[in-house]
Amino acid sequence: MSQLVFDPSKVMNIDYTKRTEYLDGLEAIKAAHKVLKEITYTPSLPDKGYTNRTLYVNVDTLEIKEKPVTQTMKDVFIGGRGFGLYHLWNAVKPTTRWNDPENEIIISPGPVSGMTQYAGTGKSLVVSLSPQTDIPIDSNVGGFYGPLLKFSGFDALELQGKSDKDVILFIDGQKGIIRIEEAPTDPVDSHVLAEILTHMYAENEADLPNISVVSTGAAAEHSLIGMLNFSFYDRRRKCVRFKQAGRGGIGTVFRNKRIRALVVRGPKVAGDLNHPVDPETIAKTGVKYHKEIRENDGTQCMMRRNGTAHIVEIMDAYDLLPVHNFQYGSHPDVHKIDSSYWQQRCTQHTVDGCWYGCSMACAKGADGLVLKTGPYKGDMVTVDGPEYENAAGLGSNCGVFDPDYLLELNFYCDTYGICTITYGTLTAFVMECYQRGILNNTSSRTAGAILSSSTTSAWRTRASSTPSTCRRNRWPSRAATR
Amino acid sequence: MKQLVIDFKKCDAGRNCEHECELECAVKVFKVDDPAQAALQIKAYEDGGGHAILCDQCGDCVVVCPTEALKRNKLGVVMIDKKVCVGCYMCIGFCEKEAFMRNSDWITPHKCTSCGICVKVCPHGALSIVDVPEPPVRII
Ligand code: SF4
Ligand code: SF4
Ligand code: SF4
Ligand code: SF4
Repeated sequence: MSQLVFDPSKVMNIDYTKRTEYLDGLEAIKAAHKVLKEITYTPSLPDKGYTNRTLYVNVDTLEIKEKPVTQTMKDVFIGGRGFGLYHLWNAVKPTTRWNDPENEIIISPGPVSGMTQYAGTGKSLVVSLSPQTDIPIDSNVGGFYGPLLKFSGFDALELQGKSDKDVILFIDGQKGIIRIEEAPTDPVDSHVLAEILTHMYAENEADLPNISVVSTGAAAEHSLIGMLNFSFYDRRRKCVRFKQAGRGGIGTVFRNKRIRALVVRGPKVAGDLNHPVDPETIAKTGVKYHKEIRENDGTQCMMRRNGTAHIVEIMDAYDLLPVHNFQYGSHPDVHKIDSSYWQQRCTQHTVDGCWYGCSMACAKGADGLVLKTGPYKGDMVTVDGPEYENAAGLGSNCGVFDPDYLLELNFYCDTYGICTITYGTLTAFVMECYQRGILNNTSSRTAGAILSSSTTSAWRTRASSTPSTCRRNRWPSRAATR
Repeated sequence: MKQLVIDFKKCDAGRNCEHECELECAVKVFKVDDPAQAALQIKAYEDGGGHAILCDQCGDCVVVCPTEALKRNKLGVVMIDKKVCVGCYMCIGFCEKEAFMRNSDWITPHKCTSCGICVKVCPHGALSIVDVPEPPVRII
């Protein structure tokens, strides 16, 4: 396998400012909101990375209270995951199941949250009892919610209880207001909902980047694989984009609590809001890091060009790529969905990355996708450029080697609020069941659906000659050409 | 676009001058009494030559800035809007000429504005502001 060279002349010329707008019903949706509870508080910025308080919200009793962050929490449970597990441990009993009211969703950005000088500090950790396993899950996610929560005055947010109506929690870190609102007519799917809420809670255009929305979609209510979309406003594209807390089904817990969305309005971001202990060392390390990305990334990982999808061809070359439910480790069509394609298709004429100062910018954007299927057919959308897990999970593992369909699957998983990794893996499994005759389209279990990929017939003849004990087998044609 | 250029046939890299250019830039443009904060830095090589860190207004930093704090003005000069800048320093790390500057007292970085103030004080007339076409935007 040779190192890919980026050729700017091959980059598709896609207008990244064009897409379908979903703001039509905004005023009516806003008018239908009803304030259930409102409190005021004093916003504060972190000192040495901590605001020294967390926010507890019970969506059933409407209790909203602050809790102090102790030195022990900082010493023993340092980091977003630690704070999440600490709060979860204190909230649940050994008998608590994922859908019990006392199960919590905890969102916590760690102490380095929101520093703009170093990559990856936009991350939040989301912790809950998983509907898939009934044990704790933590899911790591980008987007603006974590840093804006921190800059609004809270090191973590605990959500407990179960509401009997759809609610939105709004934290206004500029004005010092926390509100639980009933949201009876809000749209269900994330790409519509987050766009409407971002515009609803921003006071003007300059305020849009100060808003972040956490939401999920229709499928989170009907499956155990619901995820959470954390939004961020992309100034150049002028659109709301997402990163996903995918793993573990936390979106399902979110909807089980009848939470429609969390909205934060943080202060205008500046370079020193985190107030770290030693800003000079952080600044110098950040500059060094950006320089190394500039000098080395283009000939090494190409994260800035391709995002994590750059591993597709590597996994294929090492016979490790999930293909047709992990029956194979490589595929002759992989060039259609590897980074040689994504670096042309993902918009390269603009800035990516899901928080300020992330020069690695693995959060790519694929603009100008006109949907071919489903309720949003005909709409033009911007999708997260597929991560490796999506290119492999929704792509090769399900036998989808058409990159636009792969992006479309990615879009629908995102807006419906389900984890692309879990969805891809379970779909590939069902497809192999179909291939092996365990399921067929006369079976009521598939509701008549033909669960095979476009390549299935060719693949079947090859697969049938494969000894069933030899799971990892190279494609004959591919092996011959090496 | 306006661009600051140096002629090393005239500049002797500080051997027969007091680096007037740097001090004047620091004092007049950035209001600090420290030539190390100037937007241009002239270094002498031991073999007699020199090297200048100058911004050529290439625009690479405009492309990487996540907040649109960097924009070209009417003269094509890349200017920073400090109210918008979030101090991420990507502009510094991605400037191949290492001409985007920072210091530990200011959260926002600073750069050459092609103002020409340094040009006037060079005793050897080594600096000038020229008008050149804007280079095409690069994918970075
Ligand atoms: S440009 Fe002029 S003032 Fe500056 S170092 Fe060269 S000779 Fe000295
Ligand atoms: S500061 Fe550097 S990147 Fe920006 S315009 Fe000047 S030379 Fe180019
Ligand atoms: S430091 Fe400011 S001007 Fe430079 S890239 Fe970051 S936001 Fe833009
Ligand atoms: S042109 Fe102005 S800003 Fe640029 S180096 Fe000279 S004095 Fe400084």
